[in-house]
Amino acid sequence: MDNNNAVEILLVEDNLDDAGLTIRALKKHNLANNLLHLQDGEEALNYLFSEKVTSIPKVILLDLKMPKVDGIEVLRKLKGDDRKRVIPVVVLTSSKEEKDIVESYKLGVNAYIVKPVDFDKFAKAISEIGFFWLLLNQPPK
Amino acid sequence: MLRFYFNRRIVAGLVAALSILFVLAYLSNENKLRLVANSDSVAHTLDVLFHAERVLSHAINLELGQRGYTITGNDTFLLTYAAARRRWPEELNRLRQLTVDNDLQQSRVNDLQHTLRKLTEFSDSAVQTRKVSRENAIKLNSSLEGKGLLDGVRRIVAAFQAEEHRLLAIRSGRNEIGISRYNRTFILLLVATTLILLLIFYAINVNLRARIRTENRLKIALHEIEDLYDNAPCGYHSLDENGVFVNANSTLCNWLGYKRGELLGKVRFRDIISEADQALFEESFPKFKATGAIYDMEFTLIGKDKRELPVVLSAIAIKDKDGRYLKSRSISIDNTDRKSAEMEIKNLNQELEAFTYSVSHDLRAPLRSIDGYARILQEDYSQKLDAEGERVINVIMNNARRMGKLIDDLLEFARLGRKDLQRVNVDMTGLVNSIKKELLEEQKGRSIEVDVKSLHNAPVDIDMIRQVWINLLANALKYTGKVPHAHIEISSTKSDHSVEYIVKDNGVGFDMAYVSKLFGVFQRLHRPQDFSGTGVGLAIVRRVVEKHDGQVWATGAVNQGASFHFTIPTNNG
Repeated sequence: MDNNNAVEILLVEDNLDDAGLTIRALKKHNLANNLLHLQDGEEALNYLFSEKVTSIPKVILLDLKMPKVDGIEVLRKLKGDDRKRVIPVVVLTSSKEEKDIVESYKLGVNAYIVKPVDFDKFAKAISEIGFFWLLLNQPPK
Repeated sequence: MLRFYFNRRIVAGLVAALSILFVLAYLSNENKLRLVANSDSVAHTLDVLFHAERVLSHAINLELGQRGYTITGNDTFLLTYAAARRRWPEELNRLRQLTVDNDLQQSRVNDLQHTLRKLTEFSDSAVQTRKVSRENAIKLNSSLEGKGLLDGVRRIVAAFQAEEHRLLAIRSGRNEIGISRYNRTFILLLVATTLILLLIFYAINVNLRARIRTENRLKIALHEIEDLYDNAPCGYHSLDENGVFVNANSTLCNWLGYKRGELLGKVRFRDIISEADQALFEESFPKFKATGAIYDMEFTLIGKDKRELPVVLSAIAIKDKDGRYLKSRSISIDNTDRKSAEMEIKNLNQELEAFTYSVSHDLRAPLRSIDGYARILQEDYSQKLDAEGERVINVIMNNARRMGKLIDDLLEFARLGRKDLQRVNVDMTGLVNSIKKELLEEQKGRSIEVDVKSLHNAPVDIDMIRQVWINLLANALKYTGKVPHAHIEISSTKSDHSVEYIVKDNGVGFDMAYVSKLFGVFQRLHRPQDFSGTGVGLAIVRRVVEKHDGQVWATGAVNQGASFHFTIPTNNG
């Protein structure tokens, strides 16, 4: 059942620099052991909806603005699927646009975090997300 | 008013003319009666004179018959005599009757009777004497007694007749005066009537001309109004209670491509609007009939040739005395330009949105990387960096963060510009106190006194106005940073139509020469090393206050503090 190698955090982020910062912030608190980084929405959907993957991540950190399939689309697909809609999704984005926030919550996002420019604040936010979703939150079995 | 005035004059004139005619008729009648009375009195006088003459002639015949018989003894004379003797009393009686109203003439008639009796007695005795003796009879006659009595009769008759002539003259004279007075009055009244009739004619003429002039003016005005209605640069129409056209001007007919006759009484308004507008009309028409007015409804008219024309429609209902809906007075204004302008604005807004969206995503990400990787450098390679290297990394990080803040502020500024106002009456004192508490958290260790007076409430968008208070209070806190004891006072004053809020501090103040730059975007009056900031805060304040139709201004002097004022209208609309 509980696989040690099972993916705990799925990071969907097209910007490698941003992804590097996120992973570094998580690593600092030893939260990035079972992290999978995918670089756009298409990859994410392919991964999540593939037959081979049986376990579900504890949290998906989802960027919104990505090439090909964007974050909103990924969110729509996930929350529209009976089996996948239970996966907690945290939108992690630069956008403070009201439109995006409203749309994300309508689609059933579990949290919406705006990435601060200030790295100290950014690192703090990321580690708090990690602590909350990996350690505090009780996911559905 | 003018017409009534003329009418009154004409009626008065007619009444006057008719009155005069009545007076004339009355006077004519009087005159006729007088003439009749006059001719009666003349006839009477002639009658009297005639009978007096007859009395005289009987007296003469009496004397003549007696004398003839006396001289000749012929009985023929006795016939004349007897006839005269028999008839004079009749005549005298007649005369007495005719002059019964005249005492003088009556006494003369009595005298006459007396004298005639004496004459008759004399004649009788003379005739009797002659039958016996001719000589004695002649002797009797020679005494001239008979002649004297006859002369007496003559005298009395002459006096009697003279009196009657005199009376006739008096009566005739009086009559003549009456006639000439009547003639004068008649002519005078006739002239007056003629004048009055002329005046009436003049008045009627003037009246008629005024009426014709007014009618002409009315015709012109009517034509102008019709022209205004028909050829106005907007559509006019009226709908009955079923929404059927009962009137429409040429402009609207031309827009739709219908002839007026094809519209009126036949076509409903819902027949000439787009499918999409049907629900709007169904909903708004009953509401309009109930409330009596509707403004700025947007409809798309569909012409006979299916051409679309967007219009803005407003209407006021015409109701009868009991408040029942009769018809509408509706105006439609061609909305094509506004529609296309709206589309343009929409497109521009979309572009702007795309732009800000892109800015918020794409500009922030690299900054985060710059800051983040500089930080990594600092953390992971600190032993390889000397003091200058550390300083350079800090410069990089500070600038990246500063730019991040700048972008955030700019986006906020842009966001406020697009946001619609949601006005509610806000408890300003409570709002400002909560902001004060929040901001003072970050200012621990400073000596600050923030005096929030009891503030007037105002209808504002609470999210926007919160930003105004945050910016103003943060500013005051920032610019009092270098005085030993900061004192900030927040107060308000209320006037008839607005509330003025004031934030006063004892900070570094500013030079009034640059006051115009204070509220501009990116405009700063202080160097970053003195006071940090992006120069957007007050621009946001201005934008929010102006969105509320208020005003914002500031006063201050260098090192003598500053006060910021803004007003919020309280009775908007």
